[in-house]
Amino acid sequence: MEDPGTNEPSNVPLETETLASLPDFADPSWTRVPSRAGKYLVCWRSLAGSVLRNQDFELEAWVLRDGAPVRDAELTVSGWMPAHGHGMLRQPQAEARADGSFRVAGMLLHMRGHWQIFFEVLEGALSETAECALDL
Amino acid sequence: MSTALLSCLALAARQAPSEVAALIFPAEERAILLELSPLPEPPRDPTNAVFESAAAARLGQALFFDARLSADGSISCASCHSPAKSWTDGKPLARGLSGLARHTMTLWNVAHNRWFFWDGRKDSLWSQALGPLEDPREHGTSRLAILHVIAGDPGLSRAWREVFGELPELGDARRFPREGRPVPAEPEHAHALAWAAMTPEDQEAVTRAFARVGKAIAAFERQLVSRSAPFDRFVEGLRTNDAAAMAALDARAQRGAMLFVGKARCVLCHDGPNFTDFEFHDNRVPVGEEGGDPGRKLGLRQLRADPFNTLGTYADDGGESGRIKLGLLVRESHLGKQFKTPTLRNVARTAPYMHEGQFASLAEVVHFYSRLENASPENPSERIVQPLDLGAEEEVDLVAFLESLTDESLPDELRGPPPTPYVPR
Repeated sequence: MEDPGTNEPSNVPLETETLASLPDFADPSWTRVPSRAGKYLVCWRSLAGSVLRNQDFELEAWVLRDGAPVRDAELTVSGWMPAHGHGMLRQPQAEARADGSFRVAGMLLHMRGHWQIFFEVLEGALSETAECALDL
Repeated sequence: MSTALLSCLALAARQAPSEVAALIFPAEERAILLELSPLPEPPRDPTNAVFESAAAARLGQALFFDARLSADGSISCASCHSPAKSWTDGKPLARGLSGLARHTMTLWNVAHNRWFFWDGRKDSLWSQALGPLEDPREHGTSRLAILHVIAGDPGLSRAWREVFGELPELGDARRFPREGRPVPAEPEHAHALAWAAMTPEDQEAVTRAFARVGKAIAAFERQLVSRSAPFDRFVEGLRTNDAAAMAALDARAQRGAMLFVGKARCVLCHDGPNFTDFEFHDNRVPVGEEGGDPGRKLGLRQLRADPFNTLGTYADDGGESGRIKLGLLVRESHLGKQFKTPTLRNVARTAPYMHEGQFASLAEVVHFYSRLENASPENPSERIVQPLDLGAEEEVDLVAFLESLTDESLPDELRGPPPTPYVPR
């Protein structure tokens, strides 16, 4: 199984002052993924500690803009296996929490191989997607 | 597959070397093989309050082998899931009372499954057990008739009381006819008319008891475990660098193991210690005619409409596990015809193969995946199903590996009805 932390991007700064009360996203348990246009930084981790193939798990995810959690946004998480031509069998459910994080239930990556994980952030009428890879 | 090639494969199998020289397994293949054994305990079933009750399992065992649970007294669960045939029937298509369109699946390690039947139209083992009982093509009986059988049998009724408490008041013939069940598609059916004459409260009491019939049978089926095959001894040897243990697989089977996790890519779908990803695929197996069995596509619709699904009121966890498992399930198999990936444990004992029993032998199955001759059209959502182009020797090796997954070492007392449906004190 892949350590999710290996997808950590290298060039997105963390504003540690702003994040003082937030989780330590520099911890290896977190994967930090910039959105495609650079508007957001999505930080996520498996609440099970790791991502196990074909086993249910939940994610904790934070959507940051300029180092601060983005509130009033919708988060949609999905997965795709490009070599297979199919994705996940479920639509995970992201629930916004009072602390600004999201709890994503229903994650299940059912096959071994290369997965693309998409975090689509919808804020107002605009959306932007962060993408990372998992090899299971 | 040609007769000549089959003969060639059979000859090669007879000439397999008896000496065992452990192969050197590359790190990647070794790592995958270590993931395929041992098989853990089946997962808990929170939708079935008695899933691990010995008393319920004993009652379920009695019900499983009882042909009175059929319209004419001729069919029990064991009629198609015969312990003498590795919990299948050995036929291409199941027979039941009047014949079915699919092959009987084995019950080995069935409690590990996420979905049930080839099309996944059930999402719990107990709910699966209910389906054939009221299917006119299989047992052809009804929930009321089953409960009357239990109530009229001193042993069964004693066992029932000890596991579940009191049955509904079946002695009142006006409230509880001898037969009856919901038949939405045939409102004039005798079973439907009898059912419609009952009060909603009595219908509910009967249906809840019927669900418990399935829960008892599921508790029995949970014990049908196969996890001590030669392959498991081999993996333990691989894990501990014990050459003697690795010798549980001869050189041909070891080469087959390497193919299984490598070039042949079987492990993509037949993954994990039960050799299944528990999900559905269009494996391009030849089908009779276009417009036929839609597999998962229809099964998913049936599952969502099923009052016995894990979101329903008969699930003992109040629908909690179904909230994720079924509630978030969105994928309609709109491309191709998907069927469940079966376990490969004891696969050498469960011929014929595929959902319509299309292949008579493992050699035929492996040869199909090697060449994809007469395959159904390519499916864009199953790009991984491509010809493997295996050589004849490689096909034999792969079959030898599949044969190494055989372990039918079940206690004899589980292979037939129990002496009593209740646990003696």
